[in-house]
Amino acid sequence: MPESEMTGNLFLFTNAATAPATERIKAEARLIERVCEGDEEAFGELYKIFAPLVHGIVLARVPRDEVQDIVQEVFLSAYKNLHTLRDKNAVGAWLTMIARNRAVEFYRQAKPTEELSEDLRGKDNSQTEAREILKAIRALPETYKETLVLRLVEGMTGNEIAERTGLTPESVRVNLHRGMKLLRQKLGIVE
Amino acid sequence: MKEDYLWDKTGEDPEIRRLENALQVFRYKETAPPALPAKIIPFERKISPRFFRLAFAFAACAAFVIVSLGVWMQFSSEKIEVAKDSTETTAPQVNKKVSDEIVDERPNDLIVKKVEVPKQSAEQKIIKVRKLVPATVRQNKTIAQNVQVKKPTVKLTKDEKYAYDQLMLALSIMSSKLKLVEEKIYGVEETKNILENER
Repeated sequence: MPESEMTGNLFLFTNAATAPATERIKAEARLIERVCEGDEEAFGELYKIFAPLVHGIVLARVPRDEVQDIVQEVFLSAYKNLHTLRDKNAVGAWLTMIARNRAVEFYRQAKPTEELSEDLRGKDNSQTEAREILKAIRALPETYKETLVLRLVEGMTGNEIAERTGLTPESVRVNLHRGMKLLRQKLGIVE
Repeated sequence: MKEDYLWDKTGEDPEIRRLENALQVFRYKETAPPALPAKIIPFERKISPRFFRLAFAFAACAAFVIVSLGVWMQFSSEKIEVAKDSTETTAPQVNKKVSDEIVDERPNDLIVKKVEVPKQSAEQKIIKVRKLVPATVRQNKTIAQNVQVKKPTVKLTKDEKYAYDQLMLALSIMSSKLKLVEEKIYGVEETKNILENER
């Protein structure tokens, strides 16, 4: 296939993919406007859309017992500071930033604690395996662990991750593949 | 097709699916959104306490300037009034009164020469009357004493009062010395007159 045809196909593909994405972004912007007007129902819808994203971002950094509380805090903080949001089309990126900051703040304020041992937690093989995998993911570099948690834990597709976080699809693709490669190495999975 | 499954869940990748299944326990479970605070005014910018402090400082400065300007203006207008009073009220009245009375009684005996009123003070006036006859001198003295000096009802500051007192003291000394001179001169003249009369 000639190169020009290939790029043409790619162009068509990206156009077709971005059309619904822009529609969704517009809908989210309208939602933000409604929240700004004091519509609590709109805030509930916003929470429903973005809670998995925020949950994934926080889970990649903070002990899972604390995650739910921090997610709620992130949304409350977002509600209070919604007037500072300049670009209403970038809510996802903005919430991601707040979630990251909250996670950092959590470690700054946290008192030193010790994790419960496996004996105290109870022996559940599936849970233990999940914890091990999550631990391995958390040990990855920042850029990879967030994308992998959103993909493997929250079950988002690459495009969804890109739309919500404001990253380009290419970056997400690269992060997913490199992160997966590193995770395999850590878990001792042979390709 | 492995890559596609990782990207958009199309195709098959048992290994990634196993990881997904294992990690599903940590997946977000739908919960109610956080209860919003009872009353938030989210879209109003907060006025910082710094703003209040600046505003207060500015208001205090403005008030100080206004008050000091007011005091200064009042003080300066009082000064002008005092000066006007001293020039208008004291000297011409005294002059007129003395001269009129004297002219009425004995126009040929008396010449009112000069009434000196210092510009700075409201009180000061020196009346130099040359008397040809001692009797008229006494009369003039009494007339001069009867002239009431109008005192300005102005409150003076400490410095001004001190200066005023000093001036008054100097004037009283001067006037007493003038009296001495006057008495000597008239004493001599009186003896001369007596001698001439005797002749």
